[in-house]
Amino acid sequence: MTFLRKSVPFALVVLSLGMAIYQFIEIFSADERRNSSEEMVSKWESRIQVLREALPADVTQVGYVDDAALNGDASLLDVNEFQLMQYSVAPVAIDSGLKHEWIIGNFNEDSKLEPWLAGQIGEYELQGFGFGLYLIHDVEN
Amino acid sequence: MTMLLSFVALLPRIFLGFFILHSVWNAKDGKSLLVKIFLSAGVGFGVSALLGFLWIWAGLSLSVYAWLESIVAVILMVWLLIQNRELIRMPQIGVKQEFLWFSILALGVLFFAVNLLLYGLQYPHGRPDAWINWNVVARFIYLGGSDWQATFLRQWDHPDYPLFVPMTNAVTWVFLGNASTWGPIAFHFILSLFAIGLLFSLVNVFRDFKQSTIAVVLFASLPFIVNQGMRQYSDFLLAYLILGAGGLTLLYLHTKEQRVAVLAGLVIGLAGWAKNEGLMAIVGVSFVWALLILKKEERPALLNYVLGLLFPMLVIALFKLFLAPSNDLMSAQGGLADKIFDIERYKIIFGVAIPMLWNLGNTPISMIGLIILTMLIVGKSKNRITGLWALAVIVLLQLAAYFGIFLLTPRDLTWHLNTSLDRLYLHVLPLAFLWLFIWLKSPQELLSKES
Repeated sequence: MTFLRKSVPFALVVLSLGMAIYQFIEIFSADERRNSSEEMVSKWESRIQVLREALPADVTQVGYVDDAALNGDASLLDVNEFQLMQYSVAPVAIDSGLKHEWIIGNFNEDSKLEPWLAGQIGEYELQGFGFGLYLIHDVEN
Repeated sequence: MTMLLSFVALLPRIFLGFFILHSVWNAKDGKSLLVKIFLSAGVGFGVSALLGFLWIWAGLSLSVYAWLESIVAVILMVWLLIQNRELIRMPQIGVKQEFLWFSILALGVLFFAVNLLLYGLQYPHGRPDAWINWNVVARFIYLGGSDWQATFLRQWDHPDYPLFVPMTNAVTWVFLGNASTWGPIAFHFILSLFAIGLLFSLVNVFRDFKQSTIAVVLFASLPFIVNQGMRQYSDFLLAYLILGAGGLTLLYLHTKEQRVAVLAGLVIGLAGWAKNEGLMAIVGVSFVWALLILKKEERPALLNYVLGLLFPMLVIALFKLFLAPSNDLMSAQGGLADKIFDIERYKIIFGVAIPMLWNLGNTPISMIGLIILTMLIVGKSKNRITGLWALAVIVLLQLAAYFGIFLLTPRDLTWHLNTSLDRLYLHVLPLAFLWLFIWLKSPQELLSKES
């Protein structure tokens, strides 16, 4: 028992260093680390870059619509992409809905977008950035 | 270059922290000095975030604040070093005598640092809560200029969260000239290193070099710790501050040094500026200090503790009263009595909490199991430390508060437990480690003839 007791500190240290080495191997070989441009947020940020640059400099709040608004089904709102969008366009605050002069559109399916927009806000200007991303200017607002 | 600058940008605030710590508590022995060095990040970043917030709230420029603060901090640090050049002594560790243990410590810290850095590079923007709740606010503050308060208009997240982490990152970005991901990576990397340093230095005050080394090497080797350290959330910061406040409380109880009481109040106050759960930690730690009132001669210590707590609490109160929207958990309360008397909720909480505690650490074998086994085999140290009970009380009160939150949560209980409980355990884990490694027999005791 005495030997066992005296060995415990060394056993703990050996085990700890073993875990640290195992962890190092695991993190070192992770896909995200080897190809950091493929990491989800970095990829999203580079996709949004052009939209962010298109936003007028004096705008502090914009509207935001996605497939949920287009289909009239609130449960389709992709909260994760909403939050990513907020991160990417900060310091501009985004507000769900169409009540602002500038509105960000983020759609998976955008074939019905233009007739829907005409019905919702009347006259508008639309800039598309690919990947279903749009900047909508409500010229009557 | 940005990487290097991100680390350099943090230095003046660490200097500021050390200056405050040393000005309040001027102990110059090596062991106390180490505690002050490893607390300086939390105090420096925290006080900077409080002052910076007041500055921008007054409508003044963040850039002016960042430069002014850094210049003042560097001047103060240089002055402090000149004043104390003869007096300040680092701890005397015989590297030759302790070569094996010194090598173990160096290896453990090296792997920790490398793993932190690799994890940081793997997720440069942090994990989801980092960009949903923390770094996004830093972007509002840094990029928003006078419109920074648009951050409170954010939807689908928590605009009421306090500003310790966002202010710190925003100040760093002033020096970098852009909102580089290296700013938050450097901050959380430094914070993680200072956290293990603080654990080391506090165990070292009450035990010895070998015991401190085991505590740190075990703690730093947990995959959970590396992961949480570099997620870029505020949880690890909160855990570090609770460790600091608990450690200072124990130091006070051990030494009766009145100035340590001021620092304990300040550090736990900063925990409330780091995260809303820090407000509960303030209640828990204050309860322990309030117990001191039972002894008449301890009353000045309680007053000093309150003195330290005052400034952070004042700023937090101003923030909560005048700027932050109401908290979603607090505002959505209803049917409290039904929840309190619902036995099913207790079963769900224990059903998730106990297995999660058992598997805490993401280790191949249960860390808790290993700790229990170690306690049984090694046993309690014969060198009794006055006031060690205080650490256990702080840990238990914090866990009890979290139990209450889960019991009353308006969210889906199982979802709430699964998405946050591990981080809540993290808040008290470093302090629990401190308690454990002071309680346990050290290798020195085990190898002595009497053992």
